Amino acid sequence: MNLPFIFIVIPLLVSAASLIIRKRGILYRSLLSLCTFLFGLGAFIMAALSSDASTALSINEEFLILGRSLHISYTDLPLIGLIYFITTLWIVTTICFESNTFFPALSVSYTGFLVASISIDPFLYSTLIFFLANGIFLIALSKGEYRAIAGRMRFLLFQLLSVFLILLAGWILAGGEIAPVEEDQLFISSVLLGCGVALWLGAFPFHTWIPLLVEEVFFLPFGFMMTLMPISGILMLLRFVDNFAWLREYSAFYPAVLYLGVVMILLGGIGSFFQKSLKRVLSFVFIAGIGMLLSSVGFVPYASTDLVGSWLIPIAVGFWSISLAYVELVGSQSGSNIEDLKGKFIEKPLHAILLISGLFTVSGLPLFSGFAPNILMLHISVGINRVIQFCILGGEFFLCMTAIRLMLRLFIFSPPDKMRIPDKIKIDRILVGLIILWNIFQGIFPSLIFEPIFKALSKIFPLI
Amino acid sequence: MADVLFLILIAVIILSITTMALTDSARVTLAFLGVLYLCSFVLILQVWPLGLAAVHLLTGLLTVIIVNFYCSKITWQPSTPRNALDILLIVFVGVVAFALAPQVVVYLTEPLQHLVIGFFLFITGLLQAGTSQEEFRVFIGLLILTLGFQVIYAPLEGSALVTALISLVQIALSLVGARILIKNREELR
Repeated sequence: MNLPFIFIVIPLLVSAASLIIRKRGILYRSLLSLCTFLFGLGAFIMAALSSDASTALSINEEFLILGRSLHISYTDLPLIGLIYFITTLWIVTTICFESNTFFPALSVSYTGFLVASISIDPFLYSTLIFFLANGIFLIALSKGEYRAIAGRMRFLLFQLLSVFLILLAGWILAGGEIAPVEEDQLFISSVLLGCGVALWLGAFPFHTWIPLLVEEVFFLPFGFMMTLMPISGILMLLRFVDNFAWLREYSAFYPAVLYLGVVMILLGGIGSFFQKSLKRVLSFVFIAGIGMLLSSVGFVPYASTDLVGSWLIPIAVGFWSISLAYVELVGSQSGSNIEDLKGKFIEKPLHAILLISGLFTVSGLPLFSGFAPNILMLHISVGINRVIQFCILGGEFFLCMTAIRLMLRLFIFSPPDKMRIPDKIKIDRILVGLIILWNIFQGIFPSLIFEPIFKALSKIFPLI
Repeated sequence: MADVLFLILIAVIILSITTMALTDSARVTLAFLGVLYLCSFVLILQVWPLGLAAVHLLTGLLTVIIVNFYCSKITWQPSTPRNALDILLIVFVGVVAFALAPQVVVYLTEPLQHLVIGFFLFITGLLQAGTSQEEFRVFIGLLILTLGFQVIYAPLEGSALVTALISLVQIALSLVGARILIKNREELR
């Protein structure tokens, strides 16, 4: 038994086996929720035991496959545990809310592939593994409507291109371990890497697949994919920087990533404000959220990996809140307009608050978990460049305006109904309430949760 | 590689791509896609052992079979302006590939023939996927793009794991893409 087998192979097997019982809804979803929860818990317990000097764990960290290896060290386990807990949250959600029947099983396999992409050595192949995960996940995204497939085709094209560009960039940089890399070689590989990451994460001007895809697919699986995809992209980028000293010391690299991220924040904010389709509004909010993560990589010379670590949970919680609130408030009807939100606060107040809390989290407003990383980001940007700070603030301003625009639909234009108090509290309301409280708790006491993540990331990427 | 073999390969590839661009039948397109996989096999055999190159060929043929299984009956309406544009694009891409490859060989240390053919396929696939209105042709463009990348990347990296991963990616792409395409056709009918 070894760690990659436990956290990659077994989840993939569980995912495949669970498809047999997918018709038995509750059992299927509950079983997968329990499995992913146990994987997450197991990862944290093993990480805690390994850091305890009196306990010696003998589980192997390496798994050989076709002459290469999957390597999960004990220092990686907290991050892997966090990823599995995020997946658990999404699968628990499917117990109460409508989604594609394949989604729970494929979300487990998606997570397994993500962990494989983090652990594969050489890490360049991680892009191939992740494309495989995305390709398979398209089945979970599809909602049985195939009249328009342009978004799915563009998604495949952009992801495929990104894989090729990143592989080529990695090959050029890997040559630098043997012989010195020339300036123009470094420039070309940086351009390839930048374009590859931009295509992968939907950075401007390659963001078009996100709003196009969201119109064609189920929102809940889409939200899940948009949560884990940027996390994997950011981790891969950090691994590039950690492994290649040439790239780390290349003066243009960090500013380029920073500008890319900042443009995403600004574009996401402005884009979300001017859309009429609710799905597109929220997809631009996702773009802004990914921009926050990407720009935090650009701030690595000033804040190490702390800013990246501090954005991970707010983005995960924010995207989950937005996705779940959308599904509950609007349902699976396609082509939803923001006017469909009218009066929804009266009907479903908790989910209306969830939507607003998700938007405010991504915007980085006080009392929500995005506030602390946002303050850190703005504080660092003061000393670098006013343009960057202006773009971040501009993007956040438009995100807030978007939230207010949606609030106006939710609150002010409500029909003169009375708010209905339910006879009994459903289990999903408890989950939603807990997540809102967690979000606020983390906004008030950020250091309690961020400290362990900072430590875990600094151990995983020691050279950054 | 002998220049004669290179010339034969490039001629067959250009003819195949042109036929794929002008035809109105999915079956003909897939037959010539199979020819492209065969050509790339001959090319890759120069740098990879027979076993790995055979994996590449088998994956390619499997891809053709999968797509043929779902989409063999698909046809579309050819139009003269579109055909003219396709031929112009092929000529343009050919010129670009021959001009670009000697410049790039400085950064990607591999035989020039691989770069020329690889770039030609890569850019052709990209342009076909980018400019086509017909979803089936977009999908075939994706497969040609992947093939072009494999030709470029083969001399750089010859590990079994990469070959296996690229094969898996290609099979997953063909399964998912072909299924989406046929569902789309059924709904539009």
